[in-house]
Amino acid sequence: MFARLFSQNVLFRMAVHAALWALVLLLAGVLLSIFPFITWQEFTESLRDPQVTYSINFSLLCVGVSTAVSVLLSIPAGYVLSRYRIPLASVVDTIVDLPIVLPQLIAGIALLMFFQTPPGVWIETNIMEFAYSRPGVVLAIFFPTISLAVRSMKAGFDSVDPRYEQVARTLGCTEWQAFRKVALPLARNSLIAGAVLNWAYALGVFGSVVMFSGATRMKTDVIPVAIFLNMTTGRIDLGLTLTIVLLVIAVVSLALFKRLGGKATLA
Amino acid sequence: MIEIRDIHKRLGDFSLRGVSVAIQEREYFVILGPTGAGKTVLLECIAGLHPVDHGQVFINGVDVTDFPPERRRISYVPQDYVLFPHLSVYENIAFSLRLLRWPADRIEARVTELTDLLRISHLLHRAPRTLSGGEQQRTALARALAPQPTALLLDEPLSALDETTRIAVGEELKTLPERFGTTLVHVCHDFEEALRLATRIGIIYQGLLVQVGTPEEVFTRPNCRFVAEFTRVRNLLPVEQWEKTAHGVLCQIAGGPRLLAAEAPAWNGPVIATIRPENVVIKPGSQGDASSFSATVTDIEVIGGAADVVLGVGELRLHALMTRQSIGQAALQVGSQVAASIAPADVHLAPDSFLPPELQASEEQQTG
Repeated sequence: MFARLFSQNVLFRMAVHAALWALVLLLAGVLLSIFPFITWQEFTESLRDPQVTYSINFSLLCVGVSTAVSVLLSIPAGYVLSRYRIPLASVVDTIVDLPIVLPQLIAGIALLMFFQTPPGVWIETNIMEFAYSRPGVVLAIFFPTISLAVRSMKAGFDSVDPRYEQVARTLGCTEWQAFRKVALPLARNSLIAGAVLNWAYALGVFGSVVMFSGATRMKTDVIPVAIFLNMTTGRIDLGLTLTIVLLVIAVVSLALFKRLGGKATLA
Repeated sequence: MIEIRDIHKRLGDFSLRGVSVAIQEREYFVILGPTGAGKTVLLECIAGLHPVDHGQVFINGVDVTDFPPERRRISYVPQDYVLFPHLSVYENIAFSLRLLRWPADRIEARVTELTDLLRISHLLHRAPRTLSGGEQQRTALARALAPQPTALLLDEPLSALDETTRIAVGEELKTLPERFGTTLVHVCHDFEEALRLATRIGIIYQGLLVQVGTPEEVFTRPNCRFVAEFTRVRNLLPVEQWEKTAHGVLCQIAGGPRLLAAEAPAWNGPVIATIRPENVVIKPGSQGDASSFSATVTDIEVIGGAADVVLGVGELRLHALMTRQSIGQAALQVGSQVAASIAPADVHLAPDSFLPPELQASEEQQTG
């Protein structure tokens, strides 16, 4: 009994399980430690604060637009990466993946620099101002999050056997029809899951927004920027309220993502 | 009619090499070969799913080599059917008809016609995942037949079915060319399945089409060692010399008896006599007629209701297939002396090479 209990296999299992539970407790403990510092009353009052409502509404608007654009671009891009052989595939892959590994701050700096170049200046002069403006926030959110969207969509299409489209082709579908009538509906759940994950990730973008759009109250303060401004100016209740809002959104989004069977992968 | 001329296609390490064949209208043509021989690639080249590197594909006389799959009017049923899981059985079958913009009543009539013929009209509102293997098979066939294709390409259509369903579905497949006026190209690796269903068989090996013929031709007159072995001809006997006589072609088997063959080989090089084990007739005792030869039973291996009786004739080993009952009646056992005979029509002389001589050179070039 004693020997069996402490056999190598049992010890191994105990060790790996202990590591997992230690990690879970650490993560849960740290995240839950926010809650004792704010009462329910403070939380509900803070939610009615104009700064808080502005940053929530502004965030939802910017992230909504960014996610919509991301989805529109990442569905065809993910399909190409999943289905076609493309020239310079590894270079394309690296460029698409780069924003995932780059610090968001660098994305912000790169955007700032781009709008100092002739094409950037032309856009700002003739189309719309982006740097340090509200539309720029959408761009600052879009830039670091698009890679994750493309990867999610690619994973969604990878999960659909390409033979469905092949059979559809022999039944009379053009490539576009096979995509629209077969690949897209079959990948639908994964694509929605990818969009949800992208949306949740986009809500937390901070570095590129601060660098490219600035941290101006009631102007460019999306939720993470508003949290930063409030926590650094002593408005702890407002900061914690927005932190909890982000946390809840993250948990719900992740649950939705998993329920839809989403797969986010860098493969 | 489907005609493929000198098709070459390289896919990774595999390549189809100079495949040419003409498949007639309403023919049940089976592409037969071992795993990895290139059967599916050939099928997919016909369907237009792979652009060919060289060669041409003609459908009813029209060169469709550069046509995309949707313009070829050829339906393809993959091995595991690949029914669209997001559509009901009805919608799967109506899929191509909606693309053709048929009016709803005409679509319904066509779906009803097909599902009645294939006996799946009770499944119309079911999801594909809830169907049995046989039901999925019939639904895939109905979907493929719906747009009235010129040809139907079936990739191992029976391999995923259990034995009972396989036989029943096989019988149904056999009737499709006549019932639906379509040409059928069926890929499989099972020789008996091919024999049961095909009007003609094309045997493929490592991307080469080795022999094309009726089941009878392929079964009784293999054109090389590979086809003989693949079609389970157990007796491949090297012929030392042969000469034409008034009664047929007299062959001296190396280390064995003299046998009479009905036809001379169509090849001048070394030949083998291929004799199916079921065509070796055994009589107990060493006294036979003039056409028989003496042999000794060296082994008897019983497999179910049949037995492989191995005969020693000089240095030669000859396999004969007998029923258990006939072994009992003849009181055969290891060591028994018997008289064996083979009818001249059952002795086929084939080139003594692994592949037909004209393909052997290409094969040797490929393998270096």
